[in-house]
Amino acid sequence: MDTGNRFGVIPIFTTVAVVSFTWLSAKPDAETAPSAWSNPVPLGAPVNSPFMEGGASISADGLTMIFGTNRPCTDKDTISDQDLWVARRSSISAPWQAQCLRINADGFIDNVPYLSPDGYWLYFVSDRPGSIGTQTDRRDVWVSRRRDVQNDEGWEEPVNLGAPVNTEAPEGGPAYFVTREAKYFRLLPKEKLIFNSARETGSFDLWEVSVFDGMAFGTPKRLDEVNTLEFTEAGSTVSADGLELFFQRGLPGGLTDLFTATRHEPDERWSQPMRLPAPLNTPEYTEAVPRLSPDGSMLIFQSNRPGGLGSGDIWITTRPVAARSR
Amino acid sequence: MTVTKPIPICTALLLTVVTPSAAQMPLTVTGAYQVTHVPQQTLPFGWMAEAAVRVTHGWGGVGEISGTYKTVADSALTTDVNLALHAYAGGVRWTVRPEGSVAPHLQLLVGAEHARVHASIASHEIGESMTHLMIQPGVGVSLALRGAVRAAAQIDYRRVFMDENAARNRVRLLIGFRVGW
Repeated sequence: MDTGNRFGVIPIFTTVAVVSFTWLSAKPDAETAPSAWSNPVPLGAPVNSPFMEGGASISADGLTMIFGTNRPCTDKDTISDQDLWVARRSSISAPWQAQCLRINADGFIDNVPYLSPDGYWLYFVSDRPGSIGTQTDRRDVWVSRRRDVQNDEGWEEPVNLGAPVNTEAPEGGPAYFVTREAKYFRLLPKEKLIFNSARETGSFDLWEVSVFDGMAFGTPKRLDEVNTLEFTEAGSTVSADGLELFFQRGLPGGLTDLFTATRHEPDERWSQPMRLPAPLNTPEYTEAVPRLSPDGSMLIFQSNRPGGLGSGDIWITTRPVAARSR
Repeated sequence: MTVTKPIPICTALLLTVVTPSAAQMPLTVTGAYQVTHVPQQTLPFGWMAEAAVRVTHGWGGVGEISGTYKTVADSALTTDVNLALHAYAGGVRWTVRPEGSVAPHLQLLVGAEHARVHASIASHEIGESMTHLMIQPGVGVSLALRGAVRAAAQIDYRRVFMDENAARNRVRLLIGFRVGW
């Protein structure tokens, strides 16, 4: 009798396990966006490494990139955490040189950076002391400023953005952009920050808030037109004109894909999000934290697909600027 | 019920003061209230000052300056945004029956429009201003009232030569008084 029970339980357990695995690995079903993006390629060393890299934000001149990684800052660094690194190159064709930034907090998460197009402001995610939230997940959006855009050591003491961006729930994925609305003759630059927060649904959704002088103010707006209840939406980036949105979507704890949405005017709602096609997305691997270059010609994202140097790596795809999906 | 009374009263008053006009005055000056529609909104408060000279029978030269304004409560910025458009233009006018008590006209002006948008956030001013070339065809009519005074109404289309497609077009409606010498 015992044998019978055992043989009865195993198929049931197997079925449940397979179904659960399939559900967890499944990616959201959505229409695929037309695309002019090139075949993605991974960045080599020293930007990528056997450790995990991601959340790379590139400067307007394409010569500076700030990214997050869990690799040690130095050979003597034995603390397991996530840090911000900067990579610089002397020209577009020159090799990258990478180094750890000084504003990292030892033992805490510092990741998902976003460098403002003018190079003076650096938004990033951290759970360092001063963060608001529960003991299990204290990730908040922080910002640092520098007076000289050429000085990677000049980042000032980071400041927690506080309310209205940060709450007891985890926040992350900051991206800064500026819109100019036709109703104001394009003469009023409205600075905005898009970020993800789990404040309402318990899983990440995209939110938007106004920014002035680096700091957020006003009441954040939940982007209902792109958020879903069943999936997480996070790691977003918005084009310099505020008309194109890229973000990651997936099941909580599961694989994520890159999605895009557009609009004709910066004060309109976003269109129905569409999944970016292969080879930008893959069915078996995760694609996350897309970052659009300031000129809109380059999309940088994180993926654990084969071809990198291990774990998650930074991948790049390009397109002619005229081929935007508007 | 009393609300409707002023309308016929004003109409009757207007008709009683209308007199046949003499020939077109060599110089006229016009002051008017204007409302301007721009993409996505209407700027309800504005003014226009114009001087016109007769060149030949029916044809004349026109110069005008105008300003129009609006304050918008912007929910995202949680502050008021102030819009101002000022225009400086000159051109030609053809009046169909300059000697008539009702004188329609067509005109074409060219000039410059100066747009300024600004808001105050945390005691700091944000916003920009810009000047663009413009062309402004219009059609209007003047109605002789008493002596050298005429009522004037006009509608104009203004095309501003700026890079941004979505903010190039305006339509202006004005109503005012014209005095001739």
